[in-house]
This record gives sequence, C-alpha cells and structure tokens, in this order.
Amino acid sequence: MPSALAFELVAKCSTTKARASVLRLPHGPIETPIFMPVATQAALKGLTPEQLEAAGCRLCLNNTYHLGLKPGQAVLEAVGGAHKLQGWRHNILTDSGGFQMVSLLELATVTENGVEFLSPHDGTPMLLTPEHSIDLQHSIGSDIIMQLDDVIATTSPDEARMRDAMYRSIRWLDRCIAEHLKPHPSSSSSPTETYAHRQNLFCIIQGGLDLSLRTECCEEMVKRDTPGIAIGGLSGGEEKEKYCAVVNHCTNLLPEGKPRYVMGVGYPEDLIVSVALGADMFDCVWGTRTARFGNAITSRGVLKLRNAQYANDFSPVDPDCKCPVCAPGMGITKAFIHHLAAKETAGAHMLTLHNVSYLLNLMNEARKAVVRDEYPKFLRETFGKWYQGDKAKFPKWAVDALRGVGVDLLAE
Amino acid sequence: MDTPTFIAPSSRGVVPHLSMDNLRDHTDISGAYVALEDFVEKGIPHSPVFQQPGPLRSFTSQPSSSFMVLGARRCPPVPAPAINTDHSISILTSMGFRELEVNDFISSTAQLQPDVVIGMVDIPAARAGKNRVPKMVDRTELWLEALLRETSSNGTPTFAPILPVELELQTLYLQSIEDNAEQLAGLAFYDSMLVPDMPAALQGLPRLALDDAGDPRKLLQGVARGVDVFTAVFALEATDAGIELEFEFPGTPLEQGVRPLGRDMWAEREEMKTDTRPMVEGCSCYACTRHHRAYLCHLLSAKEMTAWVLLQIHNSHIMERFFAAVRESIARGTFEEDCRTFDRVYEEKLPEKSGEGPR
Ligand SMILES: [Zn+2]
Ligand SMILES: [Zn+2]
Repeated sequence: MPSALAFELVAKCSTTKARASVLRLPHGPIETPIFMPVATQAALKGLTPEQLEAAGCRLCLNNTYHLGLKPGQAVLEAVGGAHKLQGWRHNILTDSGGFQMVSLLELATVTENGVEFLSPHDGTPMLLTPEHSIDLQHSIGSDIIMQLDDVIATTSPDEARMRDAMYRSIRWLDRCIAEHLKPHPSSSSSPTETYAHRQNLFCIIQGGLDLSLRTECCEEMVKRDTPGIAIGGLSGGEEKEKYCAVVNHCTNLLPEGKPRYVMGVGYPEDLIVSVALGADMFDCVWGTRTARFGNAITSRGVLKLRNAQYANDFSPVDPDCKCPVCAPGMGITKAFIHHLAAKETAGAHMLTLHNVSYLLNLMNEARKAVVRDEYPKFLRETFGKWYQGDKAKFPKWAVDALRGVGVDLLAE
Repeated sequence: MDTPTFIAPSSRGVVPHLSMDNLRDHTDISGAYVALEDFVEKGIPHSPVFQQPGPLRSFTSQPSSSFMVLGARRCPPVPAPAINTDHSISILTSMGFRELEVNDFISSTAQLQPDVVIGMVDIPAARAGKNRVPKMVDRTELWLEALLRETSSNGTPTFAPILPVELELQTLYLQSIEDNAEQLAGLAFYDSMLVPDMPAALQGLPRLALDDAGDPRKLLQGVARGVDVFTAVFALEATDAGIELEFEFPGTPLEQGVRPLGRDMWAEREEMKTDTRPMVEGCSCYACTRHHRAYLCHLLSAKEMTAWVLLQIHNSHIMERFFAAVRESIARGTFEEDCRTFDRVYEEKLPEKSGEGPR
C-alpha cells in the first residue's frame, strides 16, 4: 500500500537485534530507537508544546478516544487537525481509540462490527467501527495512525477468545486499509492521491502470549504491507519473561525494512531490553504519571522525591541529565522538588519535564551505542548505574532476555 | 528595578503554574513576594531551607535578577485560628497551623538574605475591636524594633509594615518609624489607601502595597497615590479562574462602546472552540504568538494543566506591559491624562469569575 514515510536503517548491533534508523515522516525525520511521550488530550501534563520540543521530542502521541470526545471531530476539522490545534510542528501518532474505550469504559463490548459503548456524555449507545476510527484519525491528521484492533488482556485465560480477537484484528485491519485508501478530499490535482499518501497506517500484531497465534498474525499482517508494524496487547501485567518472548518472537518474523512499535511500554528497563530484542518505537504514560506522584526517573534509578530523605538533598535531580530542570545554571535541587511535590503544580511540571527528557535521552543514548556498535556495553553500564553496580539486584527476566540475544549482563 | 511595577505573590517559592524554565523564558516579572510560612513546616532551624548552605534564593532557585521580598505570611494570608501573642503569630504551613516565634523570624533573615524583609505584623484573623488595635500597634512596633536590631547588623534591607487601621490609631508607631527612618529601606502597606498620608519624613521611602488592587483601575489609583510596587493578586486569581487579561495603558478608544479588561475563557470556551485567532490579537507573549483561543478553550474544557500555564504566561505579560506603559507615561508627564483615557476606553470591572480553577 502507499505510505508517507521512508525507513532507513542506519546501523545494526552485531550482537543483539538492536537497530538504529532514520524514519522520515510528514512532519520531519525522527531517529529510532525512540520514546514517544503521550500528550493524551493534545497537551503533556502542564508542559507547553515548546517545552516538549526543546526536550528533543519530534514525535508525540495523542489519544484518539479523548480527542474524539474533546474537542470532537467537528472542531478538529474546523481548526485543521491536531497539529494546528496544539501548535505542534512535529509528528503525531494516534492510537485507534479502541483500547482506551475497552479499558476506560466498563460497558464497552466488542462485536464484529466494532466496539459498542455508551457515550460518556449522555449514555446513548455508540459504536466505534474500524472505518470510524480511521475517519477520526484522518480528521486528526496524525502522521502515524493505528488500526482498530480487538485487544484482550494477555493475562486472559480464554484461549478461544484470544484466537477470535487475533483473527478479528486481521479482518478489522482490512477494513481500516479500505477506509484509508479512499481518495483524499483535497487531492483535486492528483485524483489518485489517497489518505495513505499523507498518513501512515500501522497494523497491530495480536495473539496474546501464544507464540503460534503471534506467528499467524505476523504472517497475515505483513502481507497487508502497512508502512509500519506495531506489537500490541502487551504491557497488560503479563510476566516480563513472556513479554520478552513475544517481542523477540515477533521481531524475528517481521521484515527488516519497517519500523516496529511496541505499544504501551515505557519503563526504562523495558525500553533498553526491547531495543535489544529488535523493537524501535515505544510509548508510555508511566513517566509522566509517576512525575505527578513525585517520582524522578534517573540514571541512578527511580527516586521517590517525596520521601523524607530528599528534604535536605541539595543535589540536582539527575547530575547526568541535561534537561532544564537538571541544568547546573538553573540550580534546582531534589530538596526544592521535594518542597513542591504534590503541593504546587509547577513542581509536577518540572518533574514531568525531567522524566520525559530522561526517557527521550535514554533512547538517544541507546541509538548512539547501536551506531558505535557498543550496545552490549551500553546495556551493562546503564543497568550498572541503575542498581549502583549491584548485579544481584538486576532483574532476572532482563538478564535472561538479554542472554537470549547474546549479552551477558552479569559479565565484567 | 524600575517602578512603578508589580511583584508576583509566590506560593512555596514559585509563581503558580510556572516551571522555572517557563518563568525564565516567557516572563519578565521583576520579583516575587515570598512567605516564610511556606518554608517552615519543620520549624526553625530544622526546616530544609535552613539546612542548605545558601540563602532562600538558592533554595528556590530564583534567578539573581529577581527581586525577592520576604514576609512572614502569604499574600493574602489564610486566616489562622490561633491568637497571636506578644512573641508569636499563628501561621499556616503545609502541615497545618502552628506558631511562628518573632525571634525566629528575625534571626532567619541572616541566612535567608532576601532583597527586602517586611517587619512582622500583628493582624488578627477577625476584625480588630477597639481594644485590640492598640495591642496590634504596640506589638508591631516592638517587633519592628527587634527586627531592625538584627537586620542593621546582617545588612538585610528592611521595610516597615504599615497596619490596616486608621492613621490616628498608629500615630505613635509612625513616630517610632520616623525615628528609625534612616535604618529603613521602605514601607509595606497592608492598606495602600494610607500611602498619601505618610508623614513628610517618610515620603522618601519606597512603598510596597500588600493589599490587592483588584483591577487595573485601582492599580492606577494606587500609582497616583504614590505606590511603587504592587503585589497584584488579582492577576493570579484571573489565571486560576480561566480569565485572560487584555488591557493596555492607556488603551485605544473604540469608535463605540468600551473595551473589556479581560475575557472569561472558561465561560466562553464553547463559543471560541474553533477560533484560531490569538487569545489577544497583537499580544507578543508566547501563548498568543504560538497558540490560539481554540487550543486554550480545549485545554480548559479538558482540564489540562497546560491551560493555566499559558494563561499565566499571558497574564504576566499583560501586567508587565501595563506597568512599562505606566512608567513611560509618567516619564512623558502624561500620566493623569492617560488615566482619563484608560477610564474611557475600558469597562468598569473585570469579568466575574465563573471557572473552577485548575485544582
Ligand atoms: Zn533532568
Ligand atoms: Zn498574550
């Protein structure tokens, strides 16, 4: 199918499956591996778009479900899409809205036609079909749009339901593609220009933790030739070993020349292990959410800055970080953030800015290590710092997963 | 610092909603009023601000260019239930109400090194009766004298507080301020109506208004009375209520009708939801040059905190521009005439607050 991106592999790790690439999107190039901050309702919790830009973000998420409710499709159409709404010059990725509906609305039910739910406004029954999801994402104008998929928690014991969901996700992909291949209304100059020439539809591999289902889904979806591929249905509380097995399994089956996006993943350890397993793109709300609880993600691990031990700690949040909060000229200390945490929104804004900057930079550092072909060394050093050199504390799942791709995290 | 101007009443050392990078990059606020009660939940000297080697400015990572005024209580203070004593006042910390010893307040100035400290006042939570006023005046006088003994040796510029009671009731206190005039750096008014009535010996001192003007007309009246620095709480309250300020000084008359002083974005968020004009056309602030009304309305509807960040940046900018224009007007010698123009151009009042605020 047509696409509006170009994916250029820049380097591959000679030990692990990690890759570095340049992904050229309609609103400029991005470099992978990449962390994508989640600006759910067209804003990242108290930050301005300019702060996000200054932190180095060139691709952020908006949630289709939320934008569909507020400001709504009519307003999005009137202002000319989500980029214009939020004054964002760079790229946007949107989800399909289906997952948020199923997870946020108790009464959402999935039928072959789509996701049925009761309007949170007035309780009237509504239906999100694959076609409507794509149509809404066309109005949003995001650079990367996601298919509507049937998401079942990986922890669900219902194998038959899992199988059905996988097959339904393939059928829904076909409906999404058909909708996406419609002519773009402003394509008068070239009557054959479709939405697919302007926005990139990614498929979503489903199949729970069952590797044979994942194989079948990968094979079927790869045939559809979408510009990018997501691995979905994870980050739902499954065991980390199983998560890694699924990612590792899928990346083995996916074409090398397309970006791979693991949805909803964002703990620092998950990010750098998943990169080693061959994934390129990640998003997660955890970094911003945890900031609002006073937690800083740092090169020395996650610090709960609301704890009394930080009340008199006059060092920067993360001495290795170059964000505006940690920059030496600013003079902001852990003690000051502790003083503000949960009491002043400005404190949460600053910690949000730091955490997002940390995760963006973590992926930049990972990328540089892949380009230098030193990714195994980067993994050992980063884990070493997080756990203050105490290898006994390294999580077993990470050690095992990395051993599977040729890295002994415990080696000197 | 060029006057007349305003300083921001800070909360726990920050200008509400503004991260330090936004404060630096998008505002030009001259200074901040900081309350000691925001920093002493563990008492003096156990609270963190006293555990660090530097002054208050470094604890709150304020840029050195920002003028920092320290007082005991917030501006405006939350009424405290306990009664003040001869040697302490009742304050509100993040861990509840407690006592602040006058001596602790005084001794803290040596380390905190604000640009200005305001003498502690005895202002009861309830309206002071006939018998209470003399006690207020006596205590405030004694506390100021004690403070001056400390600050004259540690070098902290000190403003004498002027109580919000009739001038005749604080005559003796004013007398003692006059006696100490050489040691004083300025006067801080809890009721800025009293500014013109100061004795001649105190006329040369800078005057800070701690009462809220409430709207720009009253700021102008304050300037006319001789106030140099305002705390302008109303601008912050407008931000919290989702109101964007849009007055200039002296303002350009309309052919017909009057201009609004501000607009309640919260109330008008439905009408403006597809309006891609800047919040205030021609405004050069970050919020107006990079974003539009439709985004503000969306953020307010969605209760996204970024709404209040953008409003605060804009409202601060309006206040900065307003005072800059007032200073120019005074320098030109057209202030009185410009005030009459402002009176004609603008509506009487700011919009009523209808928004719920960010929290
Ligand atoms: Zn940082
Ligand atoms: Zn503005």
